[in-house]
Amino acid sequence: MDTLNSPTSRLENALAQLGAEHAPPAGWQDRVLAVLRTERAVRSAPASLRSILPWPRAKLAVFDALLMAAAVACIALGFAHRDAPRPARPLELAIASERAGPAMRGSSAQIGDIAHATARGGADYRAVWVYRRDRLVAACPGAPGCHDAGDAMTAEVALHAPGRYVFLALTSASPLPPPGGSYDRDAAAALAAGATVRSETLVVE
Amino acid sequence: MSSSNTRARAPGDANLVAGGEASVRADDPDRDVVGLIHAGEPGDALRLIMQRHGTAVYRYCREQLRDIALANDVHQQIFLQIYRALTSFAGRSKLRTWVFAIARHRVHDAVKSRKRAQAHLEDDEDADTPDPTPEPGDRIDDERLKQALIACVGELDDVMRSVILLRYQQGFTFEEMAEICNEKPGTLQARVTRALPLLRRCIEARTGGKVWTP
Repeated sequence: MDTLNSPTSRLENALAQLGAEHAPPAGWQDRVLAVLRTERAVRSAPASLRSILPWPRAKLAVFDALLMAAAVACIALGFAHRDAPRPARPLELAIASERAGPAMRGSSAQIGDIAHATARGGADYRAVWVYRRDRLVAACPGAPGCHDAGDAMTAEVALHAPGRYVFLALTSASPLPPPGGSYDRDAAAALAAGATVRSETLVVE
Repeated sequence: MSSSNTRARAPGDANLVAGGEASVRADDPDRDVVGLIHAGEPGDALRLIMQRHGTAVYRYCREQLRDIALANDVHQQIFLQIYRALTSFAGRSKLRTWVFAIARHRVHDAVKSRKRAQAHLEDDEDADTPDPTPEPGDRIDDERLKQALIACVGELDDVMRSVILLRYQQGFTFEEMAEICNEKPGTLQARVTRALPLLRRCIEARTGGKVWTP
């Protein structure tokens, strides 16, 4: 029979406490609900407009035409004002490694390859940080090899040394905290500040 | 493929919805949330689920994935999937069991997607600096036990780590774990029985101490 000090009991008690200090990042519930609201709005906007308007069909047709014209105008204004705050879109991160031949997608690369980490979507503030063995090697915007084309931000990193490279794409509606150099601390700080983060890993052999 | 009566049905299984077999278990602490689901109030149900189970699911993600950014991403994805699958919850299992079935699936999907990288990580990095070795025969203090345990749990294979976390970190019974993992309770119990001595030996090898008082 186990006693409190038996090896099994001590181990079980320690296992029960494993990770007890961890807590989800602040605001995570609001982010989940925001994603669901966005999904619902995209799926249901046309139907919801029809359902709340008790107008005859003829007037609905006119309304639809006006709505289309308004949508076209909004798109035109959007192109004209590219510096205006971006509506939040899902953040995506894609990694490709470039060799002498065409760029190839995958989770491994060779020394001498160039990795292209591209973040798309997200909110007003966006960054791409690259770590090798959990130490920061590049941070966009700002580093050489950073390219920001409006909807996409790309970090180009030459893979000179073997190891595990982690690529982080971050986005937030407010300024992102600058990276300090350590993957664990930087990721935790960004998440605590309410950023959305995507990560991918590339192994260089 | 198990044909036992305790075989778990995967969340989202259409058979749960067909025939209107919605029910609620009398022993489910989340009966009120199940009521909201059946009453067609998914938003309110999700809020309560996040409040009650968000931290526990997060702890499971953190210890299973051992990557803060990935754990945060997967944690959020889990609750998005829970919301999308709410209408398929028929109440045959406890809500918490169903939540962790979804969590386990998403976590294992994330593990699979980085499995090659993880194998290289174990060869490539030596992130854990070993603790100073105490005098042989000394009992390990609780803090050192905790640090060694974190590392040793990380060295378990993903399947074994998952059952250890579900059993001890989350406190599920083997019957509940059978529903979560879609395996027989006996299989899971055997897996746990094999894991505990492995963990103990790993801890003692790392620290040079003993887990129990001689």
